[in-house]
Amino acid sequence: MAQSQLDNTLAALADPTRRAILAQLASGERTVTELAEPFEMTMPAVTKHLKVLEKAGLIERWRAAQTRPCRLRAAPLREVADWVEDYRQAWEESLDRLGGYLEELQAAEKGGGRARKSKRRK
Amino acid sequence: MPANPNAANELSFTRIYDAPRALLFAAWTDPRHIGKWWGPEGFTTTTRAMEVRVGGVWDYVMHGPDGTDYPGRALYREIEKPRRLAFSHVGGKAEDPHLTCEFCVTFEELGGKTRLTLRMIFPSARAAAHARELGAEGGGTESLARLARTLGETLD
Repeated sequence: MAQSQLDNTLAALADPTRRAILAQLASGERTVTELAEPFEMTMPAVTKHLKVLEKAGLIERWRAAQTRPCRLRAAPLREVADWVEDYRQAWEESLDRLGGYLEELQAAEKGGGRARKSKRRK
Repeated sequence: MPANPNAANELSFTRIYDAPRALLFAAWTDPRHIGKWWGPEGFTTTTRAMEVRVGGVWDYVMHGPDGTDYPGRALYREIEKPRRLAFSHVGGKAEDPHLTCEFCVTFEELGGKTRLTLRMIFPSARAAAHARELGAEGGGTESLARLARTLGETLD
């Protein structure tokens, strides 16, 4: 996933209402009316969230007889989860390296002191 | 079943280091130190500029083991030496450096040791809008530099 697309997807996921909508869709297709039910929101407000999710590729909507059902597109969500996991792993490594570097620095401080002393003794 | 969407946009880490807090803070804010550990195993980081003040920028390039460069910019939001550091970060690959994130790092003293807590929130709402605008004009470090300037201008 391109980073700018990833940023878009993450932006879509940053909102708790949108995450709740996705959680609802995880158990199956829903119409806008059904999606709006648990939230104290107007239909246009819910529709606005759905547009953001659709643009981020996280859901798809189509026209049925009288309604516009929505369904989750799981692939981008998985891609984000995979990317976050990779990023977490990268930062674990970075924080390990920080630990190693701090040890090195402190050892050099002590060792450097000894080295200077032994030099003076010569 | 998709991954849990609730966990999708935040990461946090806690580590205890056997080192004084001042040294930890320096490791994050001194250009001589930060390049020695920033990035995963096998990466190196070159600092192009680092100005540690609120509104100042750290401009760097992280070099991957396969030769890929990852430019990055941090815009400092809060600096409370030696307790806390917060910055907006924009980075990614050279051709697409539009991944944004808010970093918050705290350093707590624990009897000679230091507890580091790192929290990252994706994306940075403040940086994302600008990143999207600039994304339309093409990627690369040039737009990244412009982005950092724009972010600087929005900081009051």
